[in-house]
Amino acid sequence: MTAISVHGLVKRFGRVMAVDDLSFEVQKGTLTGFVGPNGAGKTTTLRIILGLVRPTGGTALIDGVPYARLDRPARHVGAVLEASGFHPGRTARDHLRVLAGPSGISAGRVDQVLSEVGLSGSAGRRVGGFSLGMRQRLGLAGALLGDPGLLILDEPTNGLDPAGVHWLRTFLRERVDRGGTVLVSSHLLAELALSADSVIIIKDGRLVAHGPVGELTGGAATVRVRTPHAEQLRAVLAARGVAAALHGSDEVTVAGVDTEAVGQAVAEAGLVVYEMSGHRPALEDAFLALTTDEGSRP
Amino acid sequence: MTAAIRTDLLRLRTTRSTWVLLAVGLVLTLGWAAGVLGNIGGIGAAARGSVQMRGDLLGAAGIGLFPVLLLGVVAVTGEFHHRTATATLLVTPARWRVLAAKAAACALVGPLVAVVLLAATWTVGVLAGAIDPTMDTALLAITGRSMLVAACWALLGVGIGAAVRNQTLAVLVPLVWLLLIEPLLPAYGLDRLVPWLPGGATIALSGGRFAGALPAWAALLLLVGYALALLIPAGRAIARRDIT
Repeated sequence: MTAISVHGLVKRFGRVMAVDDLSFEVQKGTLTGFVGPNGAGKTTTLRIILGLVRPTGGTALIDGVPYARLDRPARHVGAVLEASGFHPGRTARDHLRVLAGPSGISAGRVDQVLSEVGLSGSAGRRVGGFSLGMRQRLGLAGALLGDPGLLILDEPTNGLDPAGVHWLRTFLRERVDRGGTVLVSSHLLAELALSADSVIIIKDGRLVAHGPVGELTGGAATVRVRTPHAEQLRAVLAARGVAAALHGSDEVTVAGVDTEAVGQAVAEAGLVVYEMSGHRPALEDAFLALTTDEGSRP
Repeated sequence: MTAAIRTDLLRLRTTRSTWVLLAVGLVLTLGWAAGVLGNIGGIGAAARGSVQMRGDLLGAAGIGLFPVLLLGVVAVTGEFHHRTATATLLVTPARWRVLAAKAAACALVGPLVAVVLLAATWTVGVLAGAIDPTMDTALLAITGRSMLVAACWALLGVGIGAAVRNQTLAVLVPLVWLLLIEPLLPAYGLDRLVPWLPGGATIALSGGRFAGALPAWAALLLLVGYALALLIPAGRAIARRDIT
């Protein structure tokens, strides 16, 4: 089941190609990261999906229909977009009441979402005095009003402190575990790698990669071994057809194998090992490798 | 649609600028009324207790309706100014409906403001002993005309706001038009245009008399026409616009 399907999407702003023949699908019940360098077209794509920006070409559908054709869209989709504002003179509760009105959402639900995002204590305060983090929470509260199955968040961690980021990650994960769908854009990858099921990477408005986090980071793990028999271990591994590199007199790094294989070799040769660790390449590295220009790629 | 209009009434109620504008309207009206009261006994002034005096005094509410126009302007431009348009359109993607709800809400609030301003002026006039506290059909007519003017001005405001979108510019345009351009037309020998312009039509609808003034019903149609002439093309432009 697809929650979002984007097909052949194109958006040109004057001479700038913001989105260039972009296609992807977001499956229901997944937390999908939407990443790319600044200016990659993430925000434009999300705004097209949400019917705020008209595409030059292609389609973007939610549950099979364009956003504008959803009946009471707040009950299907909740979105928090960057640069979406608040009237500074309105209180947090009034802000939400205004958003709740057209969808027939009750005042009780307003107080419920305020407590869900931890803003109950500030419900009667004017938004003008809110910190960036509080605004993010209020934005999220607005997205949750209709208890939608799909959440679309654009850079939701901006302005959140580390505790806030942790809270948001847990919050989104729980929603997905209960059957919800989340599409979250970010240019910070470390926090996504911990929680996303799948990642869509775009650059210059084009799809670069799309797949499960584990698949994108690939099997190219490295193993680092600290041993007084470094040279001996290198020879043992070489005899098994595994290339290893020496670092100083007591360290060996091996690429393309897992710790089990190295441990097996060590035991059979009867070598002493002080330390052994496996390193998976971070999503960050995969992202950099995929989005850096060909010429500068190592 | 009723939910949308009710939401926009809530939006107006929970915005400080609404109350500030109403306060400005009240101050302008009472200031003008004080001028009329202070002039009693002066040259050309109506007599205390006369119907003419009541008309002059209640006419003060007219100046207080200018903020109603600004209320309509800000109802639209505020969405762009504070970048709330994104959230508003996410909840109601049909943009024409958003604009129509704003127009309807402002056109409902405007007449209410007119009644408040008239009641305040009337009370002051009665307390000052300048007018008789009698209710008659003429008083009802004044109230009715005022309410219609207020509704038209609110619609014009929404139309200007939607057409201009930049808040500062959209506030300046009607000020310059009504205070500078229209009053200067006769000086350029363009008197004949006046009845057909928004200011002239407003005076005619209010019951004011001047050479070539349109009948009230025609003035009303003209004002609504102006509002629609602004709203429809502006609404189309907003419907096509990218909200970024």
